Amino acid sequence: MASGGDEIAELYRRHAPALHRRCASIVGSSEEARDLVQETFARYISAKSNWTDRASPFTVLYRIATNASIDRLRRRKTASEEELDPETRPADLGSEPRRIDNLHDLALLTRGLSDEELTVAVLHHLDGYTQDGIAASLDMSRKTVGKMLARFEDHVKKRAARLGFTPARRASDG
Amino acid sequence: MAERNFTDVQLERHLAGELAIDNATDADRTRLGELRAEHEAFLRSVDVDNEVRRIQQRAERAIPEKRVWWRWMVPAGALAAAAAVVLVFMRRGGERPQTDDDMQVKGDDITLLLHVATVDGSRRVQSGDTVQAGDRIRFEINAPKPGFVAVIGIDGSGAASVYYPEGGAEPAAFDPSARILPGAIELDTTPGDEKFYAVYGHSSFDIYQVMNALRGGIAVPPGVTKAEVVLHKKLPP
Repeated sequence: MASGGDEIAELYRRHAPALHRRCASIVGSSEEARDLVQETFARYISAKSNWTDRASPFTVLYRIATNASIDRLRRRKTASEEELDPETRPADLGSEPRRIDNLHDLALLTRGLSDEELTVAVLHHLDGYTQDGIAASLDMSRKTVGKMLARFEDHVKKRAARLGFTPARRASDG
Repeated sequence: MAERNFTDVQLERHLAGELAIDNATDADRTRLGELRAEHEAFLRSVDVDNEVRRIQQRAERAIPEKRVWWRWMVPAGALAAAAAVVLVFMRRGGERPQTDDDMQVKGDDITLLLHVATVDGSRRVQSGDTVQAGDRIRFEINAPKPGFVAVIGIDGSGAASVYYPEGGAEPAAFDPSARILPGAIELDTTPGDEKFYAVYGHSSFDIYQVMNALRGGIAVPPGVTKAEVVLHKKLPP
């Protein structure tokens, strides 16, 4: 075991409430969020020796929790099982994914992003954080945040096109 | 309402004791009070000791504690020169309709080779072969393109372990020119067949999602390819 019970309990009391709030805001269920908090800590503890970055425990845990929550949404509705719902497609997603309203679509479109990129993207597009706000929240430079959001937008465009959701097709649909 | 200088995440980091908030506005302090109340309510709603026990159980399932990683003593060259090809049977993604993600890995089929240490070097084993508890096994993966890999094992009791990367939560970057993976495992005494899976993705993937899929006998996620080897384990008398 990588950590003792007392150490985990202390870590849990310190960080679990914020992680629960993060997970619940994504999956929409307090009970499921509690399970995701457990999963987050388990992942953190089992891979603790592999963390090579200098991010704080909160930041690392927050990234794991965000990824685990989005991943849970993907399991509910995977790309192989269902296409994006035409009724919930964001109006300008194909060209400028500034706002993603549907969490399921977000989960499908962000497959393949790193924990860090996903966390930045969710804070920006879901929670409405500015790039400065994200930089301050996660101890990153604004430049790094900008690069990650650019990568996110590129990734989403490519994946949206791959899933058959392109501006041209939407125009013909409509 | 006055403007805020701090985001909710910053205020939560402050509550966690990680961040000072010297320039907090009245609006920040109001929000901080709301978050503090919410955090306290959450902690009152859970049995922390019970949550910790469950976390420990889940973490232990992800750590291959019973296996001992050690430095393989045989040079990679000797392994590469060893005997005729063996092993493996390889299956793509599982029983599911082809998706766009499959298109990314078309042609990215992989093979998994297992090498068992012997007195005078090593020998390759193939699916269906019998090995002994205590045998030391090293993994070799062949894939045509760079990507990300993990090796997952499911023993006779159904317990799953991540063998490579060691204790990893994320798959390791894979270079096709370095097929022999570092480290080795020592088989424990859990009775029954042991299944080994090499899992490959063009891009990084969630090891736990794949592990759950393998354990549940369902299709691995789109974009992920697997190769499987099953060995019979003979226990010491």
